[in-house]
Amino acid sequence: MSDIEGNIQAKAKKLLKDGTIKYFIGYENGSDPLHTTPCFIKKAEDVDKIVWNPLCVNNLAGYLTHDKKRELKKGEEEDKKPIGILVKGCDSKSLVQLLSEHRIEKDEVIIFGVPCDGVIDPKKLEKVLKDKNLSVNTIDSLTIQHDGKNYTVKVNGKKYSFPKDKIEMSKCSDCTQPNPIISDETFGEKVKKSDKKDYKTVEEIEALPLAKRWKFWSDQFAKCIRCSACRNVCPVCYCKECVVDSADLVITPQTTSSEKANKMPWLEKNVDPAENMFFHLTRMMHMAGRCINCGECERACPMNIPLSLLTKKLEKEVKEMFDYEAGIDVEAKPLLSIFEEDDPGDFIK
Amino acid sequence: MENNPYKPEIAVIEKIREETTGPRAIKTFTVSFQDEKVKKSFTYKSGQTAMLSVFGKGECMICITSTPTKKGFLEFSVMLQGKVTSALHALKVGDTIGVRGPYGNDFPLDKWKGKNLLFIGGGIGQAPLRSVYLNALDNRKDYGDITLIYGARTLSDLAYKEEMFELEKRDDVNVFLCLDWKFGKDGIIDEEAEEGWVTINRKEPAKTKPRKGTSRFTGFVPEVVTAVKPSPENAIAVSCGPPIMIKYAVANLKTLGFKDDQIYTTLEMRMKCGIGKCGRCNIGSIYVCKDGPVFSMSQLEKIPKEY
Amino acid sequence: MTSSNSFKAENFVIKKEDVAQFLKGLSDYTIYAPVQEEDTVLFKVIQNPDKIALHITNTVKSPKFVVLPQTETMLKVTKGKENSIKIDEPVLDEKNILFGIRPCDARGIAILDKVFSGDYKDPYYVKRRANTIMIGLACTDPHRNCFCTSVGGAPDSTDGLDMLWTDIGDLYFVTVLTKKGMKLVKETVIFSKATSENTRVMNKVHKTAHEKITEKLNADALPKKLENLFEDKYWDEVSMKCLGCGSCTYLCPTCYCFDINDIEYRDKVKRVRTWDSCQFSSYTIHTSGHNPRPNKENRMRNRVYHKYKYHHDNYNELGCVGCGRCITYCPVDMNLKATIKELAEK
Ligand SMILES: Cc1cc2nc3c(=O)[nH]c(=O)nc-3n(C[C@H](O)[C@H](O)[C@H](O)COP(=O)(O)OP(=O)(O)OC[C@H]3O[C@@H](n4cnc5c(N)ncnc54)[C@H](O)[C@@H]3O)c2cc1C
Ligand code: SF4
Ligand code: SF4
Ligand code: SF4
Ligand code: SF4
Ligand code: FES
Repeated sequence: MSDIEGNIQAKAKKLLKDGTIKYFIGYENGSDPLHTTPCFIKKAEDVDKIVWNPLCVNNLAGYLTHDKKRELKKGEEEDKKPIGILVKGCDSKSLVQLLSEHRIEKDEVIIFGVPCDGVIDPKKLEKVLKDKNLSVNTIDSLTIQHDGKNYTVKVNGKKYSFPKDKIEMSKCSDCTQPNPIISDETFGEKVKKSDKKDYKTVEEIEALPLAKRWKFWSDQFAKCIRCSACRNVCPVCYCKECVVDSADLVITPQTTSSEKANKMPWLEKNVDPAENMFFHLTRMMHMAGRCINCGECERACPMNIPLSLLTKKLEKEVKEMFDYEAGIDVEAKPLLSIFEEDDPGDFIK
Repeated sequence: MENNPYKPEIAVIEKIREETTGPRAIKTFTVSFQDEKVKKSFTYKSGQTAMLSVFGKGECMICITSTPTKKGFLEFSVMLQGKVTSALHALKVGDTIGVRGPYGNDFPLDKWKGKNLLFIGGGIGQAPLRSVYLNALDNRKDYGDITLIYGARTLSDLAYKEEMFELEKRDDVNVFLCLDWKFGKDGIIDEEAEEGWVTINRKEPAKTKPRKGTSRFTGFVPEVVTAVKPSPENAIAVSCGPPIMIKYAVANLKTLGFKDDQIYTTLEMRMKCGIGKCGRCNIGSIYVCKDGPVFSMSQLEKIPKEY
Repeated sequence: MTSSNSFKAENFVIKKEDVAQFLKGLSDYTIYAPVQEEDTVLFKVIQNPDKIALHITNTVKSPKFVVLPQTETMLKVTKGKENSIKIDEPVLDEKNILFGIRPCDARGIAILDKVFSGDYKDPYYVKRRANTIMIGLACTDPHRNCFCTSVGGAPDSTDGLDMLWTDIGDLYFVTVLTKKGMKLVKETVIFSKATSENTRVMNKVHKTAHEKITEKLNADALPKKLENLFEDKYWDEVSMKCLGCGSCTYLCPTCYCFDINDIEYRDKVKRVRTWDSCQFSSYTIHTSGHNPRPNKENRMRNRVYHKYKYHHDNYNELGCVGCGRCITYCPVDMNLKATIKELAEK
C-alpha cells in the first residue's frame, strides 16, 4: 500500500467517523486485476477497500449530480451532508466546471485531490500482456509502477517494462493539469507534465479532404448502437431530460397534455446514419466550452468509436476562437453564455 | 404476414361523445371495424383492453368500455394525456383509427354469478367498470344486488352523465354519485357541492344520514363507501380510479369486512406491445398487458410493489 | 423453429483451407460472421471469407441483431383520400447463416425463440429465425468473464445450433445437429466423415475448454433466493456506480426489450421497432410523470431479477447465458459474477 493510498483511507475514515461526510467516492479493486471500479464508502470500517494506483481511470465527478437526481424513497429523508470525492488533475477540471455551472456548490463536497502521473488504459494493458502470452485468466496479482518513461508491471511476481504510450490512456500524454485545480486536501507530491496540448491526431483528420473526413465519421458513427454510455458517463452531462431522449422525463402536474403532445422529437430511437450523426453532433454542440477532455466517453464506448477526436477538436476550436478553456476557473462564466466584442464571426456583430 | 398481432385493423369513428371538458377532458368514441369479417370475428370480455393507433402519432392502450353484450361496435373513453390521446381527441366522426386486441384478462363475471356486485369508480377509472356493470345489467338475473358508487371532482367532471342519471331511475341497481368537496383557501368548505347533494359527515362518514329519495353526496368516494355500508356478505367489490382513491376505498372496504379476494382493481403500466414481449409493463414476473390489467387484492399482495 | 429432436447427429470434418470454398458455395444465403476492424470484432455480412476472425473469443455485440434487428420497420402506412388507410408489412424472405456463432450466443437465441413464440407469435422474429441457420464454433479459449457453465451452458453447448464446429488443428470437426444443417453438408462435397481419431481429438479440445472455466457460480440458487431479496439494501449499494446506460442490455444476447414508435413523413407513416432497455428511465415512465422504477437501484434490480428470477418463473430456465459481455463492456466495471455470488450467499 502506498503512502498516498493510506493517507486517503485515513482521512476518509476520519470524515466518516465524525459524520462530516455522508459517503466517500473513490476506487476499489475491480472485476479482474486490470480494473479498478468506483466505490462508495459509507462506513468508516470499510475504508480499507479504497485503492489508489495507475488503474484508477474513471472520472468520479459525475456521480455528484447523480446523487441530486435520485428520487427519495417513501419515508427517506434527504441527507444534506457533503460527499467526499477523490479527483485526479483532469477530474478536478470537471468538478470546477460543475461548480462554475452551479450544478454543485462548494459546501456540498469535500475534495480529496491526487496529483496524477498518468493512468493506464486497461484495453491497452490487456493487449500488451496478451502479446507476452499472459492471459488475464491466469493473472493472480498485478502491480504497476511508474519509472520515468516506462511503467513496470509486475505480474504474478514477474516484472515487465512497457513504454508509457503503449499502455497509458491517450489523454495522459499531453495532460497539462495533472495537479488538482481545486481540493480540500492534496495527497502526494505535485507532478510535472506537458505544458502544451498535442493536437496531432486532430490535425491529421482536419487535413483529410472533406469527402474522406465525412466517410471517416460516417463509418465511425455507423458503429454506434446509441447505448448512451458516452453521455451517461460524461461528468458534465447532468440534465434530467436530454434533447436526445425520445420521452418526456421531466413532468409535473402542471405539464399540459399539449406540451406533452407537442414535444419535439429531435431524435428518433432509430439507429441509422442520419439519426446517429445527429446524436453525436448534438452532443458535441452541448459540450462546447464545457468538455474538459477527461476521455471518459471514448473509454466508455463499447464500440470503440474514437470520441476523443471530437472532444479534442472541440477543445482546440474553443481555445483558438475564444481563447477559452473549460474547467479552469470556478468563477468563469460558461462560454456559450458570454459575448465579447472581439468574438470571431462577423455575422453576429 | 399471417396473424400479425402488431397489425391493427381499421375502424371508423361513428360517434363521439364529450364526457367532460378541461385540461383532462374525456371523450367516448364509438367505432366499428371497416372490414365486415373483422366486425363479426372480434370478440372481447369486460375488462379487456385494445391498442388504438392514430397513424403517425403512435399507439396507446385503452380499455374497452362498451359491453360485449352489445355487438357490432366498440366504445373507448379516452382522457387527454399526451401525444396519442391528443391526436384521438382531434379526430372527427368518419375518421379512421387502428385497433388491435383485445388484450389482457377480464373481470371473472362468470365466477361472480349469484353474487352482489359493488362498483367503486373515480374519474377515468369508471371506463373499465362500465363494461362490467353494463354487462351484468344485461344479464341482470345472474347477479344479486348491483351497486355503483361513482365520484368526480364536479358535476361537469362526471362522465357518462346521461347514462348515470338513467341508471339512477332504475330500481334494479343502486347508484350513488358523489362530487368532491368544495375547496376554499382554508381547505375543505363543508357544504353541498351542488344543490340537493347530501354532505357526508366528515368526522364519522358512517353516521351520514342519507336524505330520503336521494343518493347523491358531497364528499370523497372512500367516505361514501363507508356511508353506504355495503355488506361483504356474498359480495364482490371492484374499484378503479386514481391510486389515492383506490387506497382509501380499499381500506374502508376492509373495515367493513371485505376480504382481499373479494376486492378487485385494475393496474396501469406504460405499454407498447400489449402482448407480453416488449418487456416494460412487468411487475415481477407478470406482464400487466397480458396477465392483467385485472387483479384481486390477494393477487396484488403476492407481487412486488413496483407500480 | 429448429427442432433437433427427430434428427440424429452426424459427424464430419472439413479442412480449414476448404472453409472459404464452403462459404462461397452458399451464395443463396447472407452470411454473417465475426470480422475484426481495428480493435473491434463484430458480426458482419461476409463478402470475402478471408476477413472472418474466428480466433477472437467473442464479438462485442451479440449476433441477436440478425433475428431481432436494432431498428426495423414493422408496418408502412399510407394515408389516402377519404380516410382510406393502407397498411403494408415487410417481406422477410432473406435467408441467413450465422457462421461462427459461439455456443452462449446460440443459447441466447434459443432463449429468445421461446419469448417470441408462445401465446402470441411475433411474426417478424419467427420468420427471420426460421430463415436463419446457425453454425456454431465451440470455444477453446474462454474469456476471463465467461461463466456459461454456471448457467446451464458449456463451451461446446449445442442448444439452438444447426451445426457445431470445433477447431481440431488443421481441420474443423463438424457435428451436424439438424436437418437444416444437414442440407448445407449435402449441398457441398468438401465434408468427409469424421474418424474415431477426429472424435478423440474433438473430445479432448472440448474437455480442455471446460477446464479453463474454473469458476463455478451457484446461479441455480438465485430464482429461489431472490424471492426474499426484493427489498434488500443490497440493490442500493450495488447500483450506486451504475450509469443507467444501455450497454449491458444492448450487448446482451438474451435481452429483447423493445420500443415501438411512429415516424411520419407527409402522408406516409413508418411504424418502427427499436431495441429498448430497462436501464433507461424513459422505459417505464407514465404520461403522468409517475415512474414505477425511478432510480438506478430499481432498474438494476429489474435487470438482475429478470434474468435470474422472472424469466425463470416464466420459462423455467435462467435468462442469462453467461457470456460476460455486461461485465467486460460496462464502463464502470459492474460485476454480474460477483453479484450472483453475493446473492447466492445471502
Ligand atoms: C391497461 C390500460 C388501460 C388503460 N385504459 C385507459 C382508458 O380506458 N382511458 C384512458 O384515457 N386511458 C387509459 N389508459 C392510459 C393510457 O394508455 C395513457 O394515458 C396513454 O397511453 C397516454 O398516451 P399518450 O400518447 O397520449 O401520452 P404520451 O405521454 O405522449 O405517451 C407516449 C407513450 O407512452 C406510453 N404511456 C405513457 N403513459 C402511459 C400509461 N399511463 N399507461 C400506458 N402507457 C403509457 C404509451 O406507450 C404512449 O404511446 C390505460 C392504460 C393501461 C395500461
Ligand atoms: S457509447 Fe459509443 S455506442 Fe454508445 S451511444 Fe456513445 S458512441 Fe454510441
Ligand atoms: S451496469 Fe454498466 S453497462 Fe449496465 S447500465 Fe449500469 S453502467 Fe451501464
Ligand atoms: S446478462 Fe450479461 S453475462 Fe448474462 S447473457 Fe447478458 S450480457 Fe451475457
Ligand atoms: S427487462 Fe431488462 S434485463 Fe430483461 S430483457 Fe429487458 S432490458 Fe434485458
Ligand atoms: S406492453 Fe409489452 S410486455 Fe406488456
